[in-house]
Amino acid sequence: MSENEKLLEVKNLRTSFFTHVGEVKAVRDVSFHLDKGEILGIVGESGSGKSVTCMSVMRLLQDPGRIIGGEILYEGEDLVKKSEKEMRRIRGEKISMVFQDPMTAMNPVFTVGNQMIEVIRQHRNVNKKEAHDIAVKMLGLVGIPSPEERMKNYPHEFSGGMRQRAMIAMALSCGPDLLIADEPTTALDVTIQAQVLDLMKDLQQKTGTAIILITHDLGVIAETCRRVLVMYGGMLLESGTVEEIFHHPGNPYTLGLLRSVPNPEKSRDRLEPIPGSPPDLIRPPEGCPFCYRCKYAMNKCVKEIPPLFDLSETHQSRCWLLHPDAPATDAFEKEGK
Amino acid sequence: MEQNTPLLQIENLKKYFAVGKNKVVKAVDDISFSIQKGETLGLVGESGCGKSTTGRTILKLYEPTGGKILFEGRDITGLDSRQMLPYRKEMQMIFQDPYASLNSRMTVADIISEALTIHHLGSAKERSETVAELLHKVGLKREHASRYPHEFSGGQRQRIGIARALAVQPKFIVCDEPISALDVSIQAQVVNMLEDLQHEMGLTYLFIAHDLSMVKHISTRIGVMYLGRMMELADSQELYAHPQHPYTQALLSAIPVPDPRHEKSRIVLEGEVPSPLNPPFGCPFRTRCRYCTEACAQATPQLREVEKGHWVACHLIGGGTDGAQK
Repeated sequence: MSENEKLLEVKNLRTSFFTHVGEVKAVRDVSFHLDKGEILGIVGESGSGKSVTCMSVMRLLQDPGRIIGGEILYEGEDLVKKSEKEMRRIRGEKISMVFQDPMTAMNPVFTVGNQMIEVIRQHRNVNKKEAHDIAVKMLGLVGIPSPEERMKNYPHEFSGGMRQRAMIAMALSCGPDLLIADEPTTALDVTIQAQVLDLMKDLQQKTGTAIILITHDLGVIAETCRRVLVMYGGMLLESGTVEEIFHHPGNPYTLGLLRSVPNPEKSRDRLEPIPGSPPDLIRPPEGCPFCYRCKYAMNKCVKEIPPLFDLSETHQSRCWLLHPDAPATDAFEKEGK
Repeated sequence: MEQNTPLLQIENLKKYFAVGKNKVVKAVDDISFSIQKGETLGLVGESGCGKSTTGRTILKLYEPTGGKILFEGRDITGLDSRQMLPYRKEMQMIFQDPYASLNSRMTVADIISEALTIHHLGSAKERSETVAELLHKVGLKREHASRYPHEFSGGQRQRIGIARALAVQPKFIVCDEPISALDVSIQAQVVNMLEDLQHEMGLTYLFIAHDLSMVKHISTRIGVMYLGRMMELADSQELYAHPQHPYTQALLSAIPVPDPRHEKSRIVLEGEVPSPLNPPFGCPFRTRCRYCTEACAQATPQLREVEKGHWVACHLIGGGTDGAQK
């Protein structure tokens, strides 16, 4: 929806880790945008760069990692140019994050209430009592029963699902406009996952917070998001609405991913895995990162990185097969499920 | 072996763990099932439901608290570790975490041939030949034998784990979440390989996982566990098409379907799994069940055959009231 205001715009982001072995090009020239109040999914396997992209947006990269190029425009301001002090104000207040593992994301020696109050007082000009009340209200909002009592509990007294709820409460306690959730339900059981995803959708509608949901689970994406980015080998290979990505995929990698998971609605067929394994990011292929695993790969794919081709106003794909001069293939015509 | 003796029969298996003073966690409580030769029995449930403990107790990695384990009709429950040795060769295991389950100081060849050495199978030369064959079978190369685990990716390590399990030519393998640590595109590779090996070598699997769509894909029959008890057991197609137990219905409806057009009719369960230290009396699921009646708090429902091959443990099913099917 072009009439919507853009909340976040990432342009040509490049992030590398300068390790002893060499430069690991974790994010290579990634551009995307996020509208106010939308839920955007990022799907990819480990090493695809999806988490590093978001850590770059938060400016939370650990030492050998550095942003080496590009812009991260948040409401028009470039986050790459912000000082650490300025970033500290932005984190939590404007952008906050929920991590995968609710067991390690909290400090075990402080009560949940204590940790929430600390966050709130960092960003809002309130006294202890007021911060306490806000925290209780937030815990209630995310569905924790008897929040007043639960404030006094330590993280180990919470179950995994409740801890993730508390993390979401903490992340939303300063009313951010953007919530980045990095595999928020991966460590949870399916029935609890369903609860947490429902909660996130519900909160997004109530508070209007935009959400970036990082996951490797295609099912979670299909049920939660409006638009999806598909990442592989540090690059953005395809982006589009869920309808476009799941029913008219425009990239052989997306197709491969969709075919390698069993559909619980269908009967028992043989799975079609993607052969091989993800590329080495120290020496990534010169051309398309997926070229060595792609059954449609051509000479050009090995030599040159394909540009993003527009398939529709909302749908882009990085694949040489979409070039007007490419030979006709059956890749995309009949394959959309 | 007789035609109709199941490969494995589990009768009223119990495994309790003592926790502190006078407290007991009933990790596996009175479950019975059998596995036919050549089939894959899937075991699903949420964390803490006892599915992994079941797998480990069957292999006698844990000493059972009660019940019987019959392998090819012979009772192996009371055997000590020396008497178990011949059975260890028949029953192997594949672990969840391919990073933790391989000794980082041993080469691949040592890892795979360790079991061969223990069971005195073949000469040194034959063993190295076997290792090469096994590597080939799981899609790795002969040269990989002299390398160490850290030189491999997660998917390759899981292949090494599988080669190790296959080394002694077992009949039965417990696969404890063998793919949950792997990437989506690699999961399908490993699952296909497990299926191929099953056909080729006539293997029988107990496949433990929480990824319900993958379990449905690979299993012949599926058992659903909750708080140490078996709630439902049926043919996998049947279980997904006609789940009877309210817990199974909720569990299946919670699977996210990779299709945005899919109509969602999700049953969201209230609350969480109760502490296994203090499970509810009666039906373990009654605190979260929307059909719960008084009867559910009075007695623990037993697993009963409600249709041919379809077993359910619920007071409301097959016993007059039909609440749960509505």
